[in-house]
Amino acid sequence: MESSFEPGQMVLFHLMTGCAGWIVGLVLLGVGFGPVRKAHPVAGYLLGAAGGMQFISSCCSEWRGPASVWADIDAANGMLGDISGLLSFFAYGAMFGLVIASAVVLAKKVSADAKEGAPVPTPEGQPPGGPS
Amino acid sequence: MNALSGGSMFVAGFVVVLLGAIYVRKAHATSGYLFMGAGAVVMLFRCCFGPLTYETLLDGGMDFDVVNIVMLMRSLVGAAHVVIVGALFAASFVMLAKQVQKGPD
Repeated sequence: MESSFEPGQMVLFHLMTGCAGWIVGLVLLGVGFGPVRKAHPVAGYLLGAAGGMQFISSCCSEWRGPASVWADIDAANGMLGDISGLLSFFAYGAMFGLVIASAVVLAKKVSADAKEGAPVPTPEGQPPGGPS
Repeated sequence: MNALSGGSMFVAGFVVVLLGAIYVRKAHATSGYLFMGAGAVVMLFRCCFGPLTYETLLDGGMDFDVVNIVMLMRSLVGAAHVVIVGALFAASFVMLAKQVQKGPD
């Protein structure tokens, strides 16, 4: 199959789309190990790991571009594409799992804090300190 | 492989929307909506662009150059979707973390 796309162009556009994933991975890493870790260490580490997984996922899904330079484009879209798709799928799935776990941990912490800090209503609707 | 990957990611997006509505929205409304939005974007992308592959398009009788352009567009939209989802997740987590540090209202 002949394509009007040069392998170099394929590499460029794979790199461009890969960059989006790498940047997002770094942002999640930064948010996880920065503000979220300060608020709740476990949630922070989970989010940081999710950022790492996003980074790995982008690397896996975009290796097809460079592969099209040294391999036949059919091979790059065939077996190599399947391998990169499989690895990317597992890494992306792990990223979602970690993000969900981190969000649930953090949300439960917020809910628990709100329950502890909220004023306890009395049956008569008076403030907890009693009538003044 | 593509169907398995796309289907699983669609389910992952649905789980994100569900957990955002159940847990995160109750803890902090804006964070919850951002979280749900991220899941919805994932679901939308998988619905609209998931089935597009070289194999399905070429089997449909499309010219190889046209297929390349369609797949280029798919990659660009895919990159945009990754950036949007990442930004929504990041914003949601930053707001939740600030809420934890601020303490109960």
